[in-house]
Amino acid sequence: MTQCPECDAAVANSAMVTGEIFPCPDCGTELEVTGKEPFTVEPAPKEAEDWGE
Amino acid sequence: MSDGFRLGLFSTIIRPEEKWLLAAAEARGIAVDRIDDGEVTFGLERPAHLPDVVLNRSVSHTRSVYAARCFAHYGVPTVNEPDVIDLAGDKIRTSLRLFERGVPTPRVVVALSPEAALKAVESVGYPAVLKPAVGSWGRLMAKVSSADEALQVIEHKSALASPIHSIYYVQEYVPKPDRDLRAFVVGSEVVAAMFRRSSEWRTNAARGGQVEPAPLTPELVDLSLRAAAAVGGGVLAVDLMESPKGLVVHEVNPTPEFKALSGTTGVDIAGKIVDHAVGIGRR
Repeated sequence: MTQCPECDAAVANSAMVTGEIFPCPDCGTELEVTGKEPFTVEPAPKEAEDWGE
Repeated sequence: MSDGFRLGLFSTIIRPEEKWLLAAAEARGIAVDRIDDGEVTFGLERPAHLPDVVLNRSVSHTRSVYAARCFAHYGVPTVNEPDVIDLAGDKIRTSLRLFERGVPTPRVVVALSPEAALKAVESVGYPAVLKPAVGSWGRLMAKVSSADEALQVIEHKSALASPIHSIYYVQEYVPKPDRDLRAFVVGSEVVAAMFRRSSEWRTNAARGGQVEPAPLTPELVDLSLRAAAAVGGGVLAVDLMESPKGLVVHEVNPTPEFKALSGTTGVDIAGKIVDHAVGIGRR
């Protein structure tokens, strides 16, 4: 369990892997899992101009 | 498989595709080194510990190109090869190569200044499509139906910071059904294809286009393999349109997403990619 860096909502660990992106259940901010033990999150990287396929 | 073989997964973020790739590797007993494109550094000397092959899944075209060059410098093969990523990630170079190799592709005119851009649009005729030379997911694309519209788009593009936006890639608008086609090539095989349908002129699945499986017709397979070979081959998504004159290839994507394609066709694309990468790493 950790907190959303934007809204402080509690964010729970689940089956997610490091690097996975998910929305904060409260504020919807895209978060990136940065660690599993302990569970840590940061705001997800912003889409850059050269992102794509 | 416990012979020390390691697959490098070079990525920015972990999407369903990367989770499926990790699961496919695990199911085959293949150890994976995850390499974060925001964390890794590359020196000139070869590091002691490197994977046997690197599968590029970075969403950044720029990072992909330089990382693949560095891995090649160390003697580590990448999927796709650096030249393939470099070429297929650039729409201008891709169009030139497709044309050179006789792969049917929409007409394109390139201009290098805002002043020349309108001439390029007029040369292609209306409606015309302006696309960024590098970019994806339908971002910053514009369909223009008159000189007024073209001038507005050209002015906006010229005001953008990156110099690449002052290079103008103008493509003819291909009258097509409300759908296009995506074929997924892994090595020498077209493993799956789908229609992407949208009421909007852009049909990208990333923009919410609806998808359904497409039959692997001989024409589709032949054209997709020729397009993939033209850019150097590997793991590639070939985008095609049904023009009045037959299929035309308008893009070849070197780091393709496949969530929608796997979902609609049921094909284990992740498994096929892992098998392909491992085959290259063991050569």
